[in-house]
Amino acid sequence: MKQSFPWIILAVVGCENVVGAPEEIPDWAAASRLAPEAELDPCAEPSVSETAPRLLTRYELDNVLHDLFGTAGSPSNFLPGENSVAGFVTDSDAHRASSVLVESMVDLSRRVADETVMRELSAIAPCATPSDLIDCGRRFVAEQGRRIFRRPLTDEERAVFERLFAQSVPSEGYAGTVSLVLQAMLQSPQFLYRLETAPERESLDGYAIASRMSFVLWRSTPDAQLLSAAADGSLVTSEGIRAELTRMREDPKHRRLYRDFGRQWLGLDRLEGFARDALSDADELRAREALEESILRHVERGFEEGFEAMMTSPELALTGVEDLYDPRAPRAGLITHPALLALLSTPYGSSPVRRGVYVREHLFCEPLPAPPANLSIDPPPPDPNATTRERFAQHTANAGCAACHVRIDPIGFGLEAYDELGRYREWENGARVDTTGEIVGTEDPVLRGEFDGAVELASRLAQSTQVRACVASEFYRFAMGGAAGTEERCSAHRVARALVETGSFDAMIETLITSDAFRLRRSESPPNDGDSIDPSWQEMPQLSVDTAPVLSVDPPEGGRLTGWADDVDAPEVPLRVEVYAAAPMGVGRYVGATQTDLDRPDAPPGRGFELSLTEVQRGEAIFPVVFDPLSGEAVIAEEIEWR
Amino acid sequence: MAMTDRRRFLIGSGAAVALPLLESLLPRSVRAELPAPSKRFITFYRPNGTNPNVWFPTPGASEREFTLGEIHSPLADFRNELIFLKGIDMDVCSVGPGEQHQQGMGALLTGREILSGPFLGGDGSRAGWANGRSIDQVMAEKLCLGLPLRSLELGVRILGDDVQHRLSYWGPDNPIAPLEDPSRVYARLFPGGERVLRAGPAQISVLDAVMEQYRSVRGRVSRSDARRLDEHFSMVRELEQRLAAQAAVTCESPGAPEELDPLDEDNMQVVARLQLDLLLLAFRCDMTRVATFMLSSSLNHIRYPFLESMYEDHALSHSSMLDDHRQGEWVRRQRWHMEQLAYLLRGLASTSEGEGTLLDHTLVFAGSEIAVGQTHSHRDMPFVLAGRAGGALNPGRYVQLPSRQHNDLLVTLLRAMGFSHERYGHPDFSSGPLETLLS
Repeated sequence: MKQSFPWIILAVVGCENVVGAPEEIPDWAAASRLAPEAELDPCAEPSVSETAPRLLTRYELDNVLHDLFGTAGSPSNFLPGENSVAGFVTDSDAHRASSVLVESMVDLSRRVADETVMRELSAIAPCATPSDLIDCGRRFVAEQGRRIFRRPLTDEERAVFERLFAQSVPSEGYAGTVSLVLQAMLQSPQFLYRLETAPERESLDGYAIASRMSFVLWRSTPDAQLLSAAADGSLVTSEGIRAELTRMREDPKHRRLYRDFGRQWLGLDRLEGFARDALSDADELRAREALEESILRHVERGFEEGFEAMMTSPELALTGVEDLYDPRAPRAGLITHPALLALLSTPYGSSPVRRGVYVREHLFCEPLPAPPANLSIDPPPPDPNATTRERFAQHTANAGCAACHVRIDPIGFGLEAYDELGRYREWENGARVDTTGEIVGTEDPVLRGEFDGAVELASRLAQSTQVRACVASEFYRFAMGGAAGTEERCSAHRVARALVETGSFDAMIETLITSDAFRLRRSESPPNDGDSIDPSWQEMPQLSVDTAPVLSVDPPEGGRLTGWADDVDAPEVPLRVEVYAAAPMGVGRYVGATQTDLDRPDAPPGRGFELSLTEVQRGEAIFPVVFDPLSGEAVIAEEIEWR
Repeated sequence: MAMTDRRRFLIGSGAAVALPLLESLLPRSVRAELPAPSKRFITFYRPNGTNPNVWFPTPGASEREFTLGEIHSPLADFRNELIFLKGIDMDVCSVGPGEQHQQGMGALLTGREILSGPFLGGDGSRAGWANGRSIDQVMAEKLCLGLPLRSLELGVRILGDDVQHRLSYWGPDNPIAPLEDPSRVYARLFPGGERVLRAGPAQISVLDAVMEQYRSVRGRVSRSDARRLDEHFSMVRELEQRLAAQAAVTCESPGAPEELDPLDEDNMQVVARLQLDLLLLAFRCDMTRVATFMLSSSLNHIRYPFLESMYEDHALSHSSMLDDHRQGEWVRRQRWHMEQLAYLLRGLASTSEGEGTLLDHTLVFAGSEIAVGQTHSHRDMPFVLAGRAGGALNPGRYVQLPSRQHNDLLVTLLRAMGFSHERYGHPDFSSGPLETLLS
């Protein structure tokens, strides 16, 4: 059982940035190591989505139960937390069933079903003629089954629940039986997972599209009207989808999309447990709640008004904490929101590192590695006689740290006018705050270069193609349950283009909902009936471990570098080779790249490579690297002296 | 398995009781009428390794004549219930991607490498989840048959949800998230405020219908989707078997704990205490026999204001072993960790069961994901065992081994708990049990 990793297409390698072809919208978040750019025409075939069946998250489960039965509060609160990838708990590979979840669903479904029956029996399962309970049960199974399963039940399924109904009525009574059947439905895979059935590269049926739409737009289950649209076939046409999209956007449930995305994208869970030495416990509690609500409202407003407003609006509506923040302080959108600035601080001071890392990872889509284990990572201690900037200056003075931190800290320095609570300051420890910063290591000309202060930074972020494409790809990952796979890149690209070109989140969402990847699904044939249904644990194989590629480099000669590379796990895929000078990848200078496509006698066919390096000095050390196409991992060769 | 006896524990007066006081209200005995008391297993995790110079006891003339260092002074009362281990290496961490914290978390209970995945390690490699089932889950499958809960995973200020925040694995690539909010744990122990007989015939028929819906839909989804469902439904089937064997359990609730922000650093002490109380409650009510307790997570950046220790934990663990000031601060934290372990042991030891105590029938495995905070090595892991596992262990010793693999310790723990494994985890690092530990 070899795993496919939808995340391998993220561009991450040590601290080296990867960029796309400049004339196109660079595929910032999807510079794939799988298929080199030259071969890549992502729109040659219609995109198909590749995600595994999606298990409802706790937030989705609460919404669904509320929308189906009016269940109040957060019934899922004792379920185990989701696992996440890059902050998103909607990732279909990370959020999986566990024995704890399965067991907890027994209790959850019983509580919800009993409570619903007590409150709503006549609405859920009306029965005017108590003499004919079985008939009432049959209607109840069909009607509620369709709502709960988000599609009509098959004959076989109807029989399962009718049988449970008939056998339980004598001992449990009508209400008790309705509850039991609800419990069974709520624990069924069709409810807990968003299951879709579609032959390869064919459109999903109306019900599957209805579920996709409602889970993206409402973070919940389809309503009656959407199910009708699924039933009458209108959701298999673009016009039909657009019509429902328009209607669904008007529904207040649409706000859940903005809030759920905002919460995961900005990591707002971490506001719980937020501690600031400057505040009393009571103020901490108040600030925590008010700041979360304020930034979520800002995200909502940004989604409605557009990317520019999200990134630059000076109005941040800090209701409930007005006393902590000077209303005259300069503010410019998300990056200056006190909630985000406070999250990206330590309890005792602003953190240029956390702020810089956030910008690189979540706005530039360049994940950064943690510091190497062998590096001393003592953060500079608080010093009443120095500014934060002065203390952090050592980072860029130490060569080991500087390799990564030149990309991180100078961005954070530009936000130094805001302290650990996001309060504006012009002075720190008796010195005037220096808010100049710099963005290096990016190809986007709008971003690159020196800047002064948060307002200038915000305006660059708002205009940057890279940032827009990144935010769109984060949204895509959230909405589709994982980063775009290799076969959905055309759609992902168009979604990014929509935000880049229009700055409108509405346009971005509409592009997603009407895209091929949203309506087509890749799936293999259904399993044979003869397959064993429940593989016992012992039969389940351990997942195979990816083997690292090998790289062999010949002694350099005549300005050319030759050699071969191979990866036994991926015999069909050309391997990407990059070369760095003076120091290894992450620290050294990028001087060239190629892929394996030559034959040579000492290597498997097509595994040789050759490239000329014009930017390397004779005598300088070079460090070739080959990438594992499955894991994205880099294998670094020994240092070679260039001649 | 016929278990028809009725159990009933009356705890407290029914008045709303804010938890820290819970311990005094807990039952003082586990039902004594069981013919042979069953075994329990608890993993006690603490983060970021240690400083070996102050961790290991001072050896004496024999294994039994060791002297506890200052980190372990809170455990003095339980000296004769402990086995300190030196010489256990976790070399399986040299396989596969990830950095050492991630590798150590993955391997600690699974004995396996981690897979490639979405998490970026310090070396630029991409780490995923561990590639195996953890021993607590192996044990739970057998030990918890007939009990309401398969296992209990508890955490204190975990503050994250990726590989460095998970220990227990249902299977390869499938970690179990710990609950870090005591009120959620309480809701799990007492859904709807009570825990009564749950596995009536009605519940079994509900699960039967669930299984049928699964079989019916399985034929209509893709092969890979079906595999995901198979995984889910092997858990449902196991649950059904467990519930079908379940005895009537009535364990009255001592009242819900106070709502509090479980992630707030100022609440850490209270949350740790509540989680341990709930763990003890679950064991005394025999709701489950397997638990994992995580005192925060690896690579954490937390502070301990109640110890007046305000440095970030991971940075503290990296500080120079020659820096007495920082090392002293770190020792204070580790001693506090050991106070929590002592509290757990005291709770187990003060609960009578059969002829002895709950601690006599329990095996506690306490450890961290790396050995040395400053270097992140996996050599001489700081492991301690506590309890007697029903007589399988012979504690009160400081056992110094000539470099044995952690996988063999996992085999030994399984053996002590009544399993017959010859090897566990990655085959290259497992050769057989550490016979010297087994009595």
